[in-house]
Amino acid sequence: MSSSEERKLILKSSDNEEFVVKESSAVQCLTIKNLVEDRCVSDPIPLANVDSKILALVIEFMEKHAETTLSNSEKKEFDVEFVKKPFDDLLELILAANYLDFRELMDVLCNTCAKQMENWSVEEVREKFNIQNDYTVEEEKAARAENPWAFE
Amino acid sequence: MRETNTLGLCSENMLIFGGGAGGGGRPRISESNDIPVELLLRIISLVHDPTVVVASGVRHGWRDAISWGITHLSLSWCKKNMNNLVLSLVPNFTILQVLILRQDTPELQDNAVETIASYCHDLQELDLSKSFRLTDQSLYALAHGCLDLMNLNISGCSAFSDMALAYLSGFCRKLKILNLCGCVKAATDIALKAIGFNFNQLQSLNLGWCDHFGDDGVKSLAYGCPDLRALDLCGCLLITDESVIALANNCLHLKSLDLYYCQSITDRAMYSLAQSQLKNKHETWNSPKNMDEGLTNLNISQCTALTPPAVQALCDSFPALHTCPGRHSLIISGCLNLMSVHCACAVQAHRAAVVLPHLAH
Repeated sequence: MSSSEERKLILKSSDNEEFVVKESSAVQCLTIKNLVEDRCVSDPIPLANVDSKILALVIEFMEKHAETTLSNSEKKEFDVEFVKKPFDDLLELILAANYLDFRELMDVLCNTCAKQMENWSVEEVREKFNIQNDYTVEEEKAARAENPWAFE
Repeated sequence: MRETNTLGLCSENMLIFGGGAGGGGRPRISESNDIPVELLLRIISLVHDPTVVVASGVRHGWRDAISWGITHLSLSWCKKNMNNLVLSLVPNFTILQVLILRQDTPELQDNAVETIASYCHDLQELDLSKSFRLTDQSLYALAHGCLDLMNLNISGCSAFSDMALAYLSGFCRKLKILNLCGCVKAATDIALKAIGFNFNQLQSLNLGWCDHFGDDGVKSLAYGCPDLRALDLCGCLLITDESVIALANNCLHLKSLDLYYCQSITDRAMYSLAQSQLKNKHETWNSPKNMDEGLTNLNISQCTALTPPAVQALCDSFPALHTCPGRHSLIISGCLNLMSVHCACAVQAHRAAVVLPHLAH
């Protein structure tokens, strides 16, 4: 009943760092929630696809959003500051949130990502997402000729 | 079908989630791994349409994913070169259901619409408004390719003929919403007869500013489209009471009627609408749930032959027609003699207030 008896979980990142979190916060991640409900919780829970830097950020978000004393607008203010990160980090966070099935975080990140993409050209998108162009030379030429504005 | 690209990356790679398993270094989005499809589509569903176009040019995998995922697309933001954009994009977006190509200056040509008709067989909604460079060829193409069309907006496409529209009506029979505003050559009695014959599910029809059809056409419409909810006859100068009477007797679900500038309309039309509503009420007497409020919007501006008793009778029969400022839905601009007509709530408000000079609208 008292908060000191609150259940805790240990999450282990891909680079073997361990993080202690409250179960009540962690179950915002449906992947973890399912493990808890199915009583498949090992100690610690290994998260092979999330490194320590990203996991720390996910936990920061997770704990903020689990705080019942915060109002929605305070949480929104936190979100606005939270997403002021380099795009690389945002991308890693999106992938982690997807893996953990953490919907609130996904929503915030996808919206941010979408907004940032609004003014990018094709080249900028490739650069930011670190994507290899797989169009042939002819295809690329044709695309540039048809939609020059998309490549500026 | 798209050929595989020179680097040998195919769309299967899209489904592999990247990242190293355990140990050393952060998982980077590397060449052979990419953002999962469902994640990409989730982000794409949040961006504006120009960004969708940019994203589909990034790599084959992205283009394929987007073409599987995008069902709604608007290209109205493309001020120049819309025709070329349609020609290059549409072959990739074969599952499109909604395509908005509304223009400010007419860009589209027949070859664009022919392309749409060849690739987008699931299309349900198409907006081609103001494409007055399109010819009948476009309508023929749509008739053959887009049989599932439910909502078609060709307002301002002044080059279309009535024969082509009639032809289309024989094929796209699921149409529920049709906008022919300004399609003067297309909206004739012949075309309306074809529409009445074929578009039996039609709910909304805009014939605004088409003055080449008359009562014959509207009657065919009324007989053939009993489900009509909204009809815009704004500026349709040849319409007389006969049209309104036919609508009153046959289109029992009519909610919105625009008769702006139909100066041949007289009190007869108003009484026929009122009487059919009374008849409706009697017939649904035993099942109050089915009671239809009838008309909610009526525009009789500039119908200067109308007199107050007739319009008041109308207002009394349709409780959803309002003259009160908040819910103004009976529009009588330019009919100075109808100033005394009021809906029930306007009367109550007038009585309840301290006596003030009545502010006529």
